[in-house]
Amino acid sequence: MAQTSALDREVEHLCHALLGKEVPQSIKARYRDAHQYMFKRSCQNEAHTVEVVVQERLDAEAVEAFLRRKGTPHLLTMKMQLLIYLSELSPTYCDLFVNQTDSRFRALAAIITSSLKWPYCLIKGAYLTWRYELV
Amino acid sequence: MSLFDAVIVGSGPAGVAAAYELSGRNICMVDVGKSPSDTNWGSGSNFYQLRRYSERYWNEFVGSRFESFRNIDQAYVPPKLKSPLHRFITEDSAVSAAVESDTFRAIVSFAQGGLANAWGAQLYRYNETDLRQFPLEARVLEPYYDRLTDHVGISGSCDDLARFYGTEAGLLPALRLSELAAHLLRNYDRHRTFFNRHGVFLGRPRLGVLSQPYRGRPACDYGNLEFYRLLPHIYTPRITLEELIRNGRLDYRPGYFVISFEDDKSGARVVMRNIATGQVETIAGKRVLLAAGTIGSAAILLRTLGDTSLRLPIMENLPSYIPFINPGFLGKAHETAAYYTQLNVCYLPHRINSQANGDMIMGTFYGMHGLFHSEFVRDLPLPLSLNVKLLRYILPSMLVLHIWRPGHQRPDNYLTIDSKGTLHIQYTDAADSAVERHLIRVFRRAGYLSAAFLCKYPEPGASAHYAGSLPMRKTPSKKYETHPNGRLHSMKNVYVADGSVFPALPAKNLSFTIMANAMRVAAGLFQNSDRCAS
Repeated sequence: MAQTSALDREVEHLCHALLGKEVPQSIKARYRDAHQYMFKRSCQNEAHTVEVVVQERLDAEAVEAFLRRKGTPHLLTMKMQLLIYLSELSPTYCDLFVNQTDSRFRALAAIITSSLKWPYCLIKGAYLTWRYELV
Repeated sequence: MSLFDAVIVGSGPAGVAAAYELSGRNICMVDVGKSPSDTNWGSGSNFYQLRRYSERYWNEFVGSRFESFRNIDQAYVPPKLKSPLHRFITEDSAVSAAVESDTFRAIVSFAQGGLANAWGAQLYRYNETDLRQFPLEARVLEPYYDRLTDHVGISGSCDDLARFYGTEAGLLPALRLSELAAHLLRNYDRHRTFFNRHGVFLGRPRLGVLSQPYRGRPACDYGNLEFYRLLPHIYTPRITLEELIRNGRLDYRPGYFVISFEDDKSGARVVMRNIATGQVETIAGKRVLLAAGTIGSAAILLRTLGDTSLRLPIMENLPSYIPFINPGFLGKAHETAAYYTQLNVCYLPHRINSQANGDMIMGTFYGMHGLFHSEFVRDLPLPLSLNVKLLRYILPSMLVLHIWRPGHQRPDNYLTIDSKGTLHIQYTDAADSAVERHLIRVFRRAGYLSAAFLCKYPEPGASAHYAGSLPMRKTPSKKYETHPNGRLHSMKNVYVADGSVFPALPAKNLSFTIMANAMRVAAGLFQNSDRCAS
């Protein structure tokens, strides 16, 4: 029960970071179910990092972007990818993933704004990682 | 005990091709033979329609144990092998035949039809250059290639790659290209002299995928479900196996794991474990034909010889991936009806570097069709939510070039067996990035951009293209080597038909040559029946 609430809090926080929206109940349930089969060999330190990110309501995206610079994928990265997958599989969000009409200008705008946000995100992630001693 | 003319071990491309050649004789095939659970899901549908109802099709897309998500937190497997309906292809392989290695991640199958159930169906003839280290000539294989072309139904065309791929006789029309791939081909045509001067040739692949109905099987429907289920328009050896069984031309016995064999003047016997009962049984034939794959056949021989000091060679087509983007296609609507295998590249490094050996390097351009975009969300360096937004616009402009390098025998790369019967593989090989950097430079001319830091180099074993553990020699001297007719040097009536007999491994896909050679070996099994074949 405690683990279920922890996972619910985790998926709510990560979904807010990724999609800026409330997480549907169906995704919450799938997220919980997935944890019965996945992340069995996760490192304690990385699990602690995820806990801190959720408890302290840190910018999960920024921390993840910074930690992903290391070679092996961090548990936070893997959990966020799981959530992205569940979102793509959900009728609520599946249209976010496939471009259905020609939209060259939107594409260019997305590339430009993403490129501008990226360094800010990395710097913020570096700071949070240092400030909260995340590994 | 009844004596078959031949007992074939394994039902992959080699075993099935040999059985096809031997049909008419009294032949038996023994196999573990895991079979698929559902071959009809999604018939006539398109991936991009079905994905909107992913909750309804959860078991097919994801799996009750989230099998499709394994690339998130476990070692990488190719997309086809992780789909739930393809689970049967590699299921229990670690239990049935443990392979231990820190340096080589072996992909092994005990399915009916073998790993070919998930292959890309790329089927190429080896020419004299490819066979220069083999003790046989290309003309010997040509009749078998011709018969297989007629049997399988291969789509392709006569283009710049014909000089590498051989005659276009008997080919079906090539599959439809995506808009992006057609654009690349047009730009290549425009800059052909430049490309060829730099050793690069581009054209259509030759695929066992039907562009039109053929021999009772339907044409490709461009439904993008190749990664999720077996499809009738893609040839796999299971199709021929089922036909042979249905027509009573093969005594097929699944549910057996072959442990070893025994061999004497009168014939050979396969020693096998009945998987259901655990009992050890034997089955006898005038000839035994090993077709269990490079690793499987090697393991059977090692168990038979019981020699834990013996090192068998192994080679792999080491892969790499280069993502290319055409900026003109950024933001285009995602094409939802396209086959994922688009174009092929043949690269001759010695054209530009006289120090390079004569080996060709091959590549295939894949379109980003039929996969969930979340698969790639870690591959861009930006924060994940930005990657999701960008992938939406970038993927329609992206082709991924999958490179295969030729494999060579090296003393550092070998298989052994321990006293408990566990197979061990030691493998040292790494790709330097010179090939990738050259191709990136060359394709820039056609407007396709990439960068060296975006290239991916999977660990050894990831290609599933293995060969050479029981190599063919003109004059074999070692007990694990094979004669040109496929006979194991240390045995009288045991032959080998799969990729383990290849003494070299060109970059060109080996499947078609495995099949043609298996037919050749099978055809010669009884030619010298009064004395031991040599």
